[in-house]
Amino acid sequence: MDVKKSSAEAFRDERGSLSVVIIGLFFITVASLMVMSDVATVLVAKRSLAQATEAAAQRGVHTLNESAYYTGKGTMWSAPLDLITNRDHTPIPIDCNRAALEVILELHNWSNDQGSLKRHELQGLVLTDLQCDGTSIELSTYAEIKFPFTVPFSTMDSAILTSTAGTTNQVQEGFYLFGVRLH
Amino acid sequence: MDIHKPDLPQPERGLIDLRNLRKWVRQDSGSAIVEFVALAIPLFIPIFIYLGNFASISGNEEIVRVLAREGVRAYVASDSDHAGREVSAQALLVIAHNLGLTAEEIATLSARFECSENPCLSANGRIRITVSYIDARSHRTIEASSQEHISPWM
Repeated sequence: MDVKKSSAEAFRDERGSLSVVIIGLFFITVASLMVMSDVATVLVAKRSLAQATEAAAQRGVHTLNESAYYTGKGTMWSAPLDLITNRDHTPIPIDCNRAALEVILELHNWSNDQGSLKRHELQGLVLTDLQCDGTSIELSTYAEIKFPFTVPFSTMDSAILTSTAGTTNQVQEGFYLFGVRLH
Repeated sequence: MDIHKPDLPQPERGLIDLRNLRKWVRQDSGSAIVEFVALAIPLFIPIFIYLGNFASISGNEEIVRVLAREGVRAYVASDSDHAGREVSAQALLVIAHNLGLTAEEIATLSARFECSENPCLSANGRIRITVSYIDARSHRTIEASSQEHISPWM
């Protein structure tokens, strides 16, 4: 009876109540920190993925479709007439098949790098979509990222990041003589 | 009427002080502060240290990636190899300044170029830039690389 009474008294006693609050807050803070660390890692990795996707797009767009480019008849008056009439340059044609190959090679290069080229949390870069209309390309990639901490109160330890980049070619205007830029 | 209180003899006065001290020790007032200091500080200080370091590392990582990316782009978009190096170095300095690196950190900024062709800016070549600098607070070296393929039609 006495024991019961004393345990009930001890339960009602407010001494040490602050410890419970502090320890509870501590665990909440640690859990929040783990989530924040994961989010920050995702943001940095996302930039790394975007960088790789852009580099692949840049490489892909350089594949000139020569047969489409060197068509039509140009005379010695073509260039001066274009200049006088202020006519827009025709878009530079891309060889879409070769562009796809170059894009894959570039992504493979980034994916297998062991240095500081990409974040080591990124598992592997995968090309999910490539749109090529003959003058511009757009590609989408994804990569799995491993979190530094498993998200508290869940089993989530990785996420999928996606990135999309598009690019096109533009004629660099200037005055060239025998391939040498004079102006 | 002035009541004269005779002073207690020395040993008895000592006993009273000890009792007061015991009473003071057993008092509950202010115990929350002691509890807070004893528990919260050892628990939360490491968290704040971790938070500060992690924020610094993430921020630096972001900055050095931007530097590498823009540095290589400036090089590739240049007209000649010599101009590429100059423009890239200038771009790195301007971007580093704008991203809030201190003068001390900018002084440690370095860029290493690895090229598949010689000169670097050759058609169908590849340039890889590795940018690094030393963080002024943690004295950690932050490093990131970026690479770009050069147009075969340059």
